Amino acid sequence: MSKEIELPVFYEDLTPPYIIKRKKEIDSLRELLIAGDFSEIQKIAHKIAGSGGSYGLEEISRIGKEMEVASISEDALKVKNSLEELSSFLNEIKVLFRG
Amino acid sequence: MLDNLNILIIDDDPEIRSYFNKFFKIVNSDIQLFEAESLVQAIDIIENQDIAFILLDLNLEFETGVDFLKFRNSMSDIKKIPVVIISSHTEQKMVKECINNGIKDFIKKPFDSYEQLKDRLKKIPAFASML
Repeated sequence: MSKEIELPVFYEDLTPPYIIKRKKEIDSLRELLIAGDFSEIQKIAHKIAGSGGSYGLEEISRIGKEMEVASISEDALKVKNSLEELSSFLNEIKVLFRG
Repeated sequence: MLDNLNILIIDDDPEIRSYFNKFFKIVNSDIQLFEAESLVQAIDIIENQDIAFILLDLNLEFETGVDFLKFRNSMSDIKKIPVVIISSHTEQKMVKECINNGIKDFIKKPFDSYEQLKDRLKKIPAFASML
């Protein structure tokens, strides 16, 4: 089931590539989690937390922040949960633009 | 209106640089945005362009924004260029260090919307006349 989000046309050529980039990042994050590289996960999660809202996707910033906090405390389960939540969100989201 | 509308953004995230590129094209197409992803690139641009204003991220790939602020403060010609921090780092210690190093303002990422970002920048005296 898709989640529809309506954004101003300003985001039309910004948000779709942003979503694609985040999708590509999911596998890297999974590999980092398996390797136990929480430091690198934290860096990526920090960028996700600091960017999602700027593209009209506050949910991504929220998940990124949770992942960042979990990676600081090296809580693999919480990182995994955030990662799967992010993956689901990215796969389900459908962005519409209004003029 | 100012004669010099050259703005430099120092951020290692190309998405954020693209965001500001689009943002300034919409709010004032006369603004020319120069982009640097590192301090070396930033200093090269500052030496070769007449930069009126700097937007600085704190968390660069190999350096920090505070490194730039300290360098800026040691150079009298660069020191006069106003700097605004754009960062998701909001720890009080970090913010205080930036203020102590002479920043004009601190804008938290992510931005709620481009309209709010515009309103926020308009409140900064050194920036207001550009928008």
